[in-house]
Amino acid sequence: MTARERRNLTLQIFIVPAIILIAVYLYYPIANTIYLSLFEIKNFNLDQRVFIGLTNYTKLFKDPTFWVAFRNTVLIACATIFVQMPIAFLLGDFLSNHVRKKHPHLEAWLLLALFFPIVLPTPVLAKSWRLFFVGLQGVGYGPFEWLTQKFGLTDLIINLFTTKSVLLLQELHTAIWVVIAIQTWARIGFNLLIYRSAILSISSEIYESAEIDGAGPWTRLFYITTPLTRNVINVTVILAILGVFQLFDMIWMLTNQGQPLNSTQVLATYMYTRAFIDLRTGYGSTIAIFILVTAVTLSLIQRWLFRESK
Amino acid sequence: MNIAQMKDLQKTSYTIIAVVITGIVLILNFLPVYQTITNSFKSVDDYNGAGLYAGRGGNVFLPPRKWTLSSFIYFFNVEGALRAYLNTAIIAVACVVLLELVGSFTALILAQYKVRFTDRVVQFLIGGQAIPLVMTILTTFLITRALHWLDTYQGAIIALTAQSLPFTIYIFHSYYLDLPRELLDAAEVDGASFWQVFSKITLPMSGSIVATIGILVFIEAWATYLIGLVILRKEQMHILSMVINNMEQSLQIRGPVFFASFVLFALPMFFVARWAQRYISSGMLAGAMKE
Repeated sequence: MTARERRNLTLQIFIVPAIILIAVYLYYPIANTIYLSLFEIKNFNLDQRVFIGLTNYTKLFKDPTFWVAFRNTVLIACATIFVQMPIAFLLGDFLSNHVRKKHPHLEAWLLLALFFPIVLPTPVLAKSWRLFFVGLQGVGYGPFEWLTQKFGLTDLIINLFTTKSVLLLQELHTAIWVVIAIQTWARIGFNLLIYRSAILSISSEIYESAEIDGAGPWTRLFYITTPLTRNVINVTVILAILGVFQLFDMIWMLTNQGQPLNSTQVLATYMYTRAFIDLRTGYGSTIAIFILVTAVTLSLIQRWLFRESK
Repeated sequence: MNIAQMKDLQKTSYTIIAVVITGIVLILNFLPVYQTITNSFKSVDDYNGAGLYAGRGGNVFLPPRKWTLSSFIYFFNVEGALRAYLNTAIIAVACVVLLELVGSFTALILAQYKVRFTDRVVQFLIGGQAIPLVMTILTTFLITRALHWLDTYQGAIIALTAQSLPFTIYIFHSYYLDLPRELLDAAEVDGASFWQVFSKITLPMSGSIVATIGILVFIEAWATYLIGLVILRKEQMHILSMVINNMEQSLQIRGPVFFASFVLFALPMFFVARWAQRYISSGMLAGAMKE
C-alpha cells in the first residue's frame, strides 16, 4: 500500500457522518416502514404491537377514502404533466426564443414576475388562496365571493358547477378541482426555469437556418425545441411524479386537512391523517409503502418508455 | 396556402396564445400577492366592516381605506409569534451551515481521495434523493423519539439536514470531480494537510456552489412544515409555517394580522428572489440532469 492509498483510506473516516445520517434517516425508514406495516400499532405504542400479517394491505384496498386519495393524486399528476408542463414549456420557449431576442430587459423582468411564486413559502401560497376562496371567520365572505357578487357572476357559477354556494373550496364535488388548479399553477415557475435554461442552451444557428427555410414558431417548437430538450422533459416528468406523491403542505393547508369530508385528501395527507391523527401507525406505514412502490414503479415505467422511443 | 402565409399564420397564432397564457399566469401570480400586501396594511375594522366602517361591509379585496402598520405590530404581540420567527431562523441557518460543511468535505473526499469502494458509496449517498419524505416521516418521528430529541432544535435540524444531504453531496461532488488534480498535488507537496486543502483551497474555490446550496436549502428549510409538525409539538418550539396554519383556527386572530404574518414569513424570500433565479436554474438543472 502506497502512502497515498493509506492517507486516502484514513480520510474515509470523515465520510462516516454523512453515511450514518443518510442510512439512518433515509434508508432505514424503508425497512422499518415495511416491518411496521405488518402490525397493528396504536398510539405509537411499539411495545404493544400485534402481528397481523398482510391484513393492513387488504384493508387498504377496501378503504374508500384511500381510493379517493389515490384518485386525487392521479388527477394532480395528470394536471401537472398535461397542463402545467406544456404551459411552462410554451412560456420557456416564448421567453427564450422570442421575447429575449427583441427585448432582453423585458424578458428578465417577465421571467421574475412569472417564476417568483416558487420562491415564496408554500404555507403562504396555500393560506393566501384559501383565504381568497373561503374568507376568514368574522367577515363572512372572501374576495372570490365578493368579486362574483360585484360582477354578478354568482348565479352563473352556481349553475355552472351545480353547487349550493360560490364557496367552491368548501363544496364537496368542486373542492378538488380548485385544489388541482392551484397546485398546477404553483409549480409552473419551477418548470419554466428548468425549460428556459435548457432551451437557451440550444444553438441559435439551428433556429436561424430553420427560420430561413420558412419554419414558423409552432414548427420550430415541435420539431426543434421539443426533440432537443427531450432529456430535460423526461427528467422533469420523473421529478413531477415523485413530487406529486409527496405533496403534503399545499393540500393540507389549502383544504384544512383534506376537507370537506376527506374529498381532497391525497396519499401523503391521508398517510399523515391515519398515522399521526388517528394514531394508527401500522396502517399509516401501509399507505407510506404504497406511496413508495407506486412512485418508484411509475418513474421506472416512464424511464423505460423513454428508452424504447430513443 | 404557401409557405410564407403559413409562417405568418403560425406567427400570429403563436403570439396570441403565448401572450394570453403569459397574461393569465401573471394575473394568478399577482392575485395572492396583491391580496396579502393590501390586506396586511388594513385596520381590523376596515377588513371586517366594523366600528368606523360598520354597515359598509367588510373590505376584503379593495385597497385599504386607511393604511396602517398596526397588524405588523400586533403580530409580534401574538403569543409565540416572535419565538416562532426565532425558531425558524435558528433551524434554517443551522441546516444551511451543517449541509455546506458536511456536504462539501464529504464530497471532496469522495471526488478526489478515492479508495476502492468509493463509487458504491457515492451511489448509495446520492441515491437517497429518491426516497420521499412522506415515506420516511413516520420512522423519523420514532428515531427522534428514541433519541429523546422531540421538541428540540437538534431533532428538527438533523432530520432536515439528512433530507437535503444527498442533493448537497451530489452538487458538490460533481463540482469537485472537475478540480485539476495538479492543484491538490502541489498543495500536498508543500506539506498542506487535507483540512488545509479543504479550507484554504477547495472551499474558497467553490463559492458559486456554496451560494447555490445555501439559497436552495434556506428556501426549503425556512418553509418546512411536515418535519416541524411531527417533531416540534410543544407550542414554544413551533415554527412559522405551523403558527400560520394554526392561526386560522384561533378566533382572536383578526384578518389583517393573518396577512401581516404572511408578509413577515415571506420577507426573507424577497431578498433572495433575484439570486434564486440563477441558482435554481443552474442547481435544479444540474440536479435534474444527473439521471
